[in-house]
Amino acid sequence: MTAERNQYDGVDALLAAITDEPLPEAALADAAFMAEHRAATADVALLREQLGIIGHALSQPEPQPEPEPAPKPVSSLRPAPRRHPGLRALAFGTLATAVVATMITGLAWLVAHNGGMNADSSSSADQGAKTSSGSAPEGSGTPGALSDPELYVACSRLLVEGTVTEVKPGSDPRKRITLAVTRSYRPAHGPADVTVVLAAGAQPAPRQGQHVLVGVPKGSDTATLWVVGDDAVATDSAAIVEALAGPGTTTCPTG
Amino acid sequence: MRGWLVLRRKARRVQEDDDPLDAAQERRVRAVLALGGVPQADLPDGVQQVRLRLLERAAKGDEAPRDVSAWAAVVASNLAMDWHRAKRRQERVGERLASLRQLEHPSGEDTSVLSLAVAQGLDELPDQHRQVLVLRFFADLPVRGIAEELGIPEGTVKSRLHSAVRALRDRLHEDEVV
Repeated sequence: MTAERNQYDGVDALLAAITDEPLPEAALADAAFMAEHRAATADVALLREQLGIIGHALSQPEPQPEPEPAPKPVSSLRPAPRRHPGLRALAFGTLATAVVATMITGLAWLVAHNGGMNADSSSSADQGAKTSSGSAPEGSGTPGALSDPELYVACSRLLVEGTVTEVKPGSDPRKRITLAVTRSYRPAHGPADVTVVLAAGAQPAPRQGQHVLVGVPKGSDTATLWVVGDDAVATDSAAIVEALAGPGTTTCPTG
Repeated sequence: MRGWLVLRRKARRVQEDDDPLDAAQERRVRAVLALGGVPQADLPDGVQQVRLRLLERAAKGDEAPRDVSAWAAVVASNLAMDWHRAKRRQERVGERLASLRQLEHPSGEDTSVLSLAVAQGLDELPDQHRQVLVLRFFADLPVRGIAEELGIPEGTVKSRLHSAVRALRDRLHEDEVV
């Protein structure tokens, strides 16, 4: 067992620390090797600890909007279940993806079929707010974003109309929008003020004083309906009212 | 077709009453995915994929994995690799970590600096090296187990681990964070 460049049986001090295998006796008697092994073992232990810390930190669920002193966040209206997978499942591109699609709730179907919602599988949070108003100037949003209002209503946990009173940056590129609610469609009787999370690229950009219609789907904390301007809001609100007055037989697809 | 229908029915029940992953296993899967560079927004989908792989096994009549936690970690690491190959987006673990306000560790600022340095080092590793590193030192799988699960020789696992750890060590010592 010859030591060549601090190796024994092809195993150097670092590899021995990595594999945690027993050291040959000759290695145990090699002071230089053992010093290197101790240093490598300490570094490996540090790396192990750091991976645990990083893994824990990165895998935490996204923070929900926190309550402001006065306005109540949307998340408090209903406990948020597990984050909605949406069409992002396609990113993994496996057979199981098809099965995932059968498991998710109606949002995926809604996203895929509603031109007013984001059809990009990668992120409803990124672009979901590009809705009826699209890139149109503020207050001139194209009305009629909801191609299937009954379905949207069935799949929404929050649908409110109101005036933007505050726009705050969130912990990520998204923004937190507080509305003074003038009309709550879902729930029928909601708080006077709500705070919702809006994707960073939402157009028209949120500003104080805007008259808006906002929708947040079930299982999500991010608005996917963002309608700005009196005309656009009136049109889509009317569609929502009509949907709510309907037979109520539409349910959010679950499979 | 019938098997698929069975799978579908089972999948519907997963979140209700028959979750094949317990809470600890789910957390571990999320962490492996995150360490593999899967963005936080996609972690729930990744966890679902792992669940469904378990159901697929059951639907095919395969035996349950001997160690579900280890098996799930390997599947999650493969999903992270697939995610990178798809190149839908690039997620830099270091940037993501830096965006978090505070790491949950009692040691304070120095540890955060070290964690960021390690995370940035992970970003620089080849995907295959990062995968075995995470499986060895986060999921705590033995070299032989990693080789068996990934279907590669033990020597390859050792070689990748050696390269990965050496690269990280060099980086941390150069940056003088250790």
